[in-house]
Amino acid sequence: MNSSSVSTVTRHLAWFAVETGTWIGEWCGTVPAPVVPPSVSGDARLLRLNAWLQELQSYITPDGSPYEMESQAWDLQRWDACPVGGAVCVDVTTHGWPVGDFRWATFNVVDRRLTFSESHLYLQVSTDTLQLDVNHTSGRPVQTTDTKLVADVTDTAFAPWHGQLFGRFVSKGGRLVFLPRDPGRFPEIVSHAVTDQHPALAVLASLDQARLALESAHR
Amino acid sequence: MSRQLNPSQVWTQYPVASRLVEVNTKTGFSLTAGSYAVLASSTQGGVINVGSAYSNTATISSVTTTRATVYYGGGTYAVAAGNDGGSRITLTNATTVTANRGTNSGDQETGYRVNEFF
Repeated sequence: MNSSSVSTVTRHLAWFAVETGTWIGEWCGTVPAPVVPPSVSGDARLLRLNAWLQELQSYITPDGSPYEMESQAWDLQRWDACPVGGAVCVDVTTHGWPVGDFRWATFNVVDRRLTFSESHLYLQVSTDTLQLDVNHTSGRPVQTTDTKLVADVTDTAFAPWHGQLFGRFVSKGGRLVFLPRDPGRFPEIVSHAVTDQHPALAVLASLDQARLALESAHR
Repeated sequence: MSRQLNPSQVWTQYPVASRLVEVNTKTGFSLTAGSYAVLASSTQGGVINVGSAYSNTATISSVTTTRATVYYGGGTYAVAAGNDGGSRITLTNATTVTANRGTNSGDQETGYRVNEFF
């Protein structure tokens, strides 16, 4: 069989640590299709497909692969720390999600179950109107777009007020100041913290400032 | 992604690519779809403040629109906007939820939830 006659398929693979279930990395690309006779079905088919996946993924690492890659994302520290045989490779193609979306998922090896238990909190700012107008929750990453600046505020000073943080940014004294729509809903120090001199980074750059300001206030 | 390789890493000759590639020895076993279960695979949601406009959008984690559904999660309306008849929620594309309403007076918050099925 020459290489031109080999049919190919696109596969999105994710690796998790067997011991902890935590995400190690993801890879998506074109690989040679599995060859399973139509007469083989059920558990026998899954057995063959798992063996096929084990074989093809053995040539994929963060450093490269012989396959045509579309995209990849790795936690290199976790990869380097993973012992021989310490990872499980899961074919997540069927989800149809972007590479990197499984970074907060965990894989339970005993139950063979993929779980999205970790929710992240997002604030979104419309860059054309400078309105903080969306509070969103998801177990997967949300990407910033041309018109929406998205900030992950999980575990930040804003988290307790997520769901009610709305308002707009105005220029005041050379700084960009956040004016909450309902200032009485949360401490003034929170709204004061959502400021920065660069509109495009207003929320993102202020997160650490907000945390520090609140920590100082509580001392 | 490129990085300095560890000299102790195992290398082999992969016949198809005809070039040296590193062998992944870290994976103990592999599972294709059908060999594992998925729990709470994709549920996300939030609140859109439509403000003084007819519509506004929220950016969400990517979903496959043919198997995803968006639910209206209730709304709050400014007292002055007595003629506000509520809002309509639409999954506009894989990463966008849109809230529309019939007026642009008064402030309005619209809740939404997006579920994806497998």
